[in-house]
Amino acid sequence: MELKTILEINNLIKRYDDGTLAVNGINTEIKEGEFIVIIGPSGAGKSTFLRCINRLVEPSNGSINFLGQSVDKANNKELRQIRAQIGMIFQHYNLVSRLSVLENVLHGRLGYMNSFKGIFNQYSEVEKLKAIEWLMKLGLEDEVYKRADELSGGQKQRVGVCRALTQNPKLILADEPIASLDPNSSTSVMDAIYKNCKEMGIACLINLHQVEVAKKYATRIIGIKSGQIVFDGSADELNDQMIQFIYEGKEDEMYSSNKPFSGTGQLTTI
Amino acid sequence: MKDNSSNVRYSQKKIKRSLTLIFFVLLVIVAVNYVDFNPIELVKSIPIFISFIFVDFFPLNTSDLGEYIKPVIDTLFISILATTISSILAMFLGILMAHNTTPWPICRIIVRGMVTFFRSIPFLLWASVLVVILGVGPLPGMFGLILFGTAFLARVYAESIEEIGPESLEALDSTGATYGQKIKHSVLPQFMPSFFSWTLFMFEINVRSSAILGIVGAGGVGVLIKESMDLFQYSKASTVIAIMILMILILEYLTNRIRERLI
Amino acid sequence: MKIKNVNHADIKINTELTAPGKKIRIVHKETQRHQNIFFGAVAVLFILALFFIEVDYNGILQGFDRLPSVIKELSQISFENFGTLAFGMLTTLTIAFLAVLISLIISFPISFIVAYNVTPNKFIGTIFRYATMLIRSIPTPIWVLIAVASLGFGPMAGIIGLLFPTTSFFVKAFAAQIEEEGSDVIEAIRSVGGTWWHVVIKGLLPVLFTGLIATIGVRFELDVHESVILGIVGAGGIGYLLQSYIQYYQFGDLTLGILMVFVTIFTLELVINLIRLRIGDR
Repeated sequence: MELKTILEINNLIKRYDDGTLAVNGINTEIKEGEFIVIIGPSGAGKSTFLRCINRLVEPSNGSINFLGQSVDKANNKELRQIRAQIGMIFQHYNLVSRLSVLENVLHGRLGYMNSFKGIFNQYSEVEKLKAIEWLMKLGLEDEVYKRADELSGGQKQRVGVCRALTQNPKLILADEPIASLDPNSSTSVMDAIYKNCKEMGIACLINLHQVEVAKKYATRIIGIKSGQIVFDGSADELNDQMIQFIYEGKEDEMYSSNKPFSGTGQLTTI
Repeated sequence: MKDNSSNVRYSQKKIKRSLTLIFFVLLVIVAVNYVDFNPIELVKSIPIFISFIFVDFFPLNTSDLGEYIKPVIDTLFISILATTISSILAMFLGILMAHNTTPWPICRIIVRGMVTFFRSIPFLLWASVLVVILGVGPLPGMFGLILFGTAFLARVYAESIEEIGPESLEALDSTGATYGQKIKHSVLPQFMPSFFSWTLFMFEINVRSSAILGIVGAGGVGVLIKESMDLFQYSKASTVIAIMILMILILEYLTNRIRERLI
Repeated sequence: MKIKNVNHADIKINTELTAPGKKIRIVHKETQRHQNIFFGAVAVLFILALFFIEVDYNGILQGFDRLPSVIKELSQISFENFGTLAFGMLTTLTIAFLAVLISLIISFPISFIVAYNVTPNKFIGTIFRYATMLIRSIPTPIWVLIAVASLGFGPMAGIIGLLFPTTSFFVKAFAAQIEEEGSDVIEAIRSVGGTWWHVVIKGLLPVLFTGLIATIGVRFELDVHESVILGIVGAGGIGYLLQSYIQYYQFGDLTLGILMVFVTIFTLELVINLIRLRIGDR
């Protein structure tokens, strides 16, 4: 069965005001359910690339097509609808500290509600139940009503994952989701993302700079260097030579912290 | 070679510093002459001032204590009304003014201009003018407080809003939230601690201000003070002042406790 | 332990879910409760206040009727008394300037006595602290009223009146800064055997310099503001002129005066900001 293409990117270019070329002509296609990890040193343009996809950063040139709809040409209303179907996970979790965990997760539904409903917290009971279900699934049932700032880093990121999953997205973008976490939390977060995306058939684009982690999870790895794709293949095809090339000059960034990584692809609860 | 240039820069700095100092001293000399300020007179005046306080203001005249209750409550209520109205108006203005939440850049410039204008004019001046328009009583004072208070709060609210990190706004953007939703779900919750802090601060200021409004006839405790001082009944005035101090201190204590709880 | 917790949460969530017609809570209880109490209390007080204060609604309506004509009069700026106003503004500025200067001289040593991490004598420090608090709770115009009553009208009364609130403000602000940022430096210099004077001059001053300048800037602005107000109370300067214009309905001059105050304070704000940035660069 031929998998549908859900994201098409043509000649994407991002040039900043001071002239720096963050993204220098990227062409690629993402199919339904693919689990793709993007590797590359810092400053290569991974973050910018990711943010261009949902237009958090405005592309300078090129076209982005999501589910047949043009993202770069979308007006405000259309952009909202597109974004509702793309979930995003951030390196610094990006939660609202003073709100409860449940409220944070429910923010994922705002893209589907009109302004008025969203402002007055008119989430349906079904939506609330589903959000609680996700939290329970990711091992956060004791944290549902806690304030977001009472949680540990790993827990906060799992809340971020729940928020993205609550959107029922077709695609999840994750920008360095484990960069701020210790190895144990990193495992549980990566497992959570991997397992749930596989189960729900959600395509996933994850930025990582730790190559070992990439190899453990990804079906397809994209290597970005200086704003361009220099490698696009399976984890097996990624040999040491290629890795050295991608990280030329910034070799120390390839590795995660001291402890050996122990991810198994199974969901673990802490 | 290198040594030379840093030496030059260092001596440039020294020259700048001495110039600033000389400028400053000149300024002081000009100022002193302008108001015929005589430091000796100053030193002589201080004992007069202090003895005046102790001789004429004490002992406190505690008759008519009951008369003072209404003006005190008046003062408190005026402050509450003024602060509440100011903070509601200032919220809207603040959101319009902060550069991370303003819907259109022009909006920001206009609102900023208006707010700065209203903030620079002392509230007593407002009250004075308003007395002419609205007559004597608590109302002009309250409007004066509202005019000034809204402008002041709008500015500090805007500054607090601008200090909010962009992270959670980014996250809400990525889920497809609208402008209104972003304000309600990210900006407001993070803004609350500053909101409480500044609003309580404004309340404290308003209490002190409304105590003085009476001087221009705008109601509150100030009226009593002005009256008694005009009649040279200094010990009465001091009683009222003492009550006012008490009121302010109690309020300061209360607001501190509230602040701890809320933030 | 872990299993017990899960069951607990399950039961809690389940009861919330199965209660018929009840909506699922999403907020954090305590935060919400505190906020609700606060806003509730404010609402109650607000309504009470509305009833208590004799709001003369008729007066308001009449006032609004008069508003157009007042605005018309106000918009006829008269430049007749520009000179007098300008001098008045200068006087006001000077009063503020001198008051701040003298206050600095007095408050500086006192703040070191009050700050609990540098004070040579805790008891005296506490006395000064409470005295400052008392002085601070008396609004500036009252001080000036007293000064005017004892020393007569004029700038001198203004300066002395301003001295008290300004000094107490500086003491509080400086002491707070010393307490907050000074401890490390104090420890460092004490540990190499420095005396109290060494600690202050070589240690604290450099560290606290920028913060002090910021505070001084803020207070100077405030004092100019208050100085204008003082004029209304009788201490000379532009406030005095403005008050007389109001009383004699000289609105044309009044408008010019208001504009002058605005421009001055605004410019002052800009200048102080510039100075702060410049000094920060050092």
